Amino acid sequence: MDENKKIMFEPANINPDEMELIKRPSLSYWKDAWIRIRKNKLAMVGLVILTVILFMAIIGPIINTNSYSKQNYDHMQELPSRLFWFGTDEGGRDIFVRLWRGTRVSLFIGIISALLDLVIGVLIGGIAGYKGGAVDDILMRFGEILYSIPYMLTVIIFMIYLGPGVNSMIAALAVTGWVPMSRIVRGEVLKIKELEFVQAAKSFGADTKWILLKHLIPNAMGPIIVNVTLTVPRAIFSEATLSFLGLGVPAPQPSLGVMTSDAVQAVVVGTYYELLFPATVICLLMFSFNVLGDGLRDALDPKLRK
Amino acid sequence: MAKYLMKRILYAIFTLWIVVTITFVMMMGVPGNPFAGEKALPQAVLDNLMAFYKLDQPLIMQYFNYLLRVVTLDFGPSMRSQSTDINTYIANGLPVSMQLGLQALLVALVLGVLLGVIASLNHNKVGDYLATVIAIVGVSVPSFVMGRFLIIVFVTNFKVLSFGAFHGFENWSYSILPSIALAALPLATIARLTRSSMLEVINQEYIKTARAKGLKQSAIIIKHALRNAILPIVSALGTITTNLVTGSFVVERIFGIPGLGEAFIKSVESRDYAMIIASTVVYSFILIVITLVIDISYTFIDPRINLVGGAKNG
Repeated sequence: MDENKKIMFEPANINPDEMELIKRPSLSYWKDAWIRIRKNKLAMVGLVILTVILFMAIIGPIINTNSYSKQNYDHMQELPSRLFWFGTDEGGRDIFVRLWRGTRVSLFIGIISALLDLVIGVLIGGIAGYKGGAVDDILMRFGEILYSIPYMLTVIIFMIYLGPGVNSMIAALAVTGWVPMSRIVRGEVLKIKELEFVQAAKSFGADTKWILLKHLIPNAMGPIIVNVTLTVPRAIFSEATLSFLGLGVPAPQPSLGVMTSDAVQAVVVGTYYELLFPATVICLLMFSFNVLGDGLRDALDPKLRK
Repeated sequence: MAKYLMKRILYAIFTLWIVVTITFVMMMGVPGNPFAGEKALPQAVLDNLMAFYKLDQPLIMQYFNYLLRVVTLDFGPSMRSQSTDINTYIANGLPVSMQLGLQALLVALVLGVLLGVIASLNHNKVGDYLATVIAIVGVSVPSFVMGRFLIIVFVTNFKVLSFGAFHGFENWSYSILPSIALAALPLATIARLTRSSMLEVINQEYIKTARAKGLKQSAIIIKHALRNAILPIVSALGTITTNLVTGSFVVERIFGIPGLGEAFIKSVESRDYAMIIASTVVYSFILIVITLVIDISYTFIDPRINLVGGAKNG
């Protein structure tokens, strides 16, 4: 019988090293997110459009040497030609050059005010969430009060206060823009600060600044990045609205908002053509930032991981 | 509940006071005065004007005068045209803007929820993609472009609708296009929210139970799924209302509607401080009241939410 058993059964080859082997390649949080967002077709389309617009905003005013502010009185409201690639506006200015310069200005406003929101919002939200108690109450109530003045109203009042211009527009947008970001960061910090690794860091004697910057904020990065991606289009939209209300970037400086609202006024006299390019770029920008933000939200959400 | 309400109302009054104070300080900090026009006024006239608006008094007195005006809801004369009372402006403009805003909100809520439900029931099918495209168009197109586009299509080309001043049901058809233009952005927001929140709810066990009981599809969606999925939309209503206010500035201008938004923009252009502060107070008041109503409505939509306890934590 024993002989038979030996033939039928083979001892398993147990190798302790192999048991610990990780078969799946180890993925960092960001690598994993990148793999998942690549599968999201809409987000990828958004990324491609965004890259193209960014590229054109950089090289557009370089490859065409027309001036953005020079008025050509013998070429007013012309259709595209070899001289003026996208035609000219009601002041005889080159639309192609103005369009990409304007895209630069709008993107600049969008990105800088998103970054300011990021810094202020993360700082205030982080402190409020981590400190808790009275500090939390005061900071959050302050944000709440700021937010109960309709956002655009504050921005308009600030624009009057600071005078028109790119810088004052960014400042005005930053004054109220940090509130949603601070709420998101506060919520995340409230969740994370109770976790064991923070307790461990505390028991090692880490100070508040260290814990906030090295432990809490990095772990809240997902929602923060999603919010930044969605803040940029909101700022670009606000720029367009302010321009339409006559509080935009002063002439002759172009921005997408200024060009679109000028073109919208020009439609009244029957010139539909001017509206085409700035409105298209603004819509494409809004579209790509929004789908990218949505895609990022899905990709960074561990619950949706397959 | 009564205690909670009292607390909330007191807090709302406090918030309003802070808003008024901030606006006052900002307005006083703006260089120049509202009477600086193209041609300089004689000193005597300027002094008289300053005295008429009590701008020659110390700032602290001006502040208390101002607070008194807000409390008595008498905003005094406009700084630009002495013959017009700001109260008259608000009394004329507010109903028009409210009607426009409410109509837009109704359109956005009904169509947005409908679109979101259709999208979630046809997840990853044609209906879903169609609804997503409509929602994305809604967030991507600035409202003044949308408004102008609607005018070109329906007024200039097809001549089916017109626009202009309306009042209640008088000339009601004039309010259709502006309401649509104003509704576009909130509609998109609501549709997206409804879709994602419905998708979460629709796969839960109790929906299966409802199906197993043999309930009609409509009953399942309306009574069981939607009621649970609607909460994120209710909490987003605050932001949506703010968007409506901002949108109304633009939409009223494009369609030439004599609402509060248009009056506000004109006052910004002419630096009519009294009017700017008055509009800010009115808008903030509306927003604060709406936030309060939303918070209270939570308890009716979801009985599990206990505001009194929640108030202690938050």
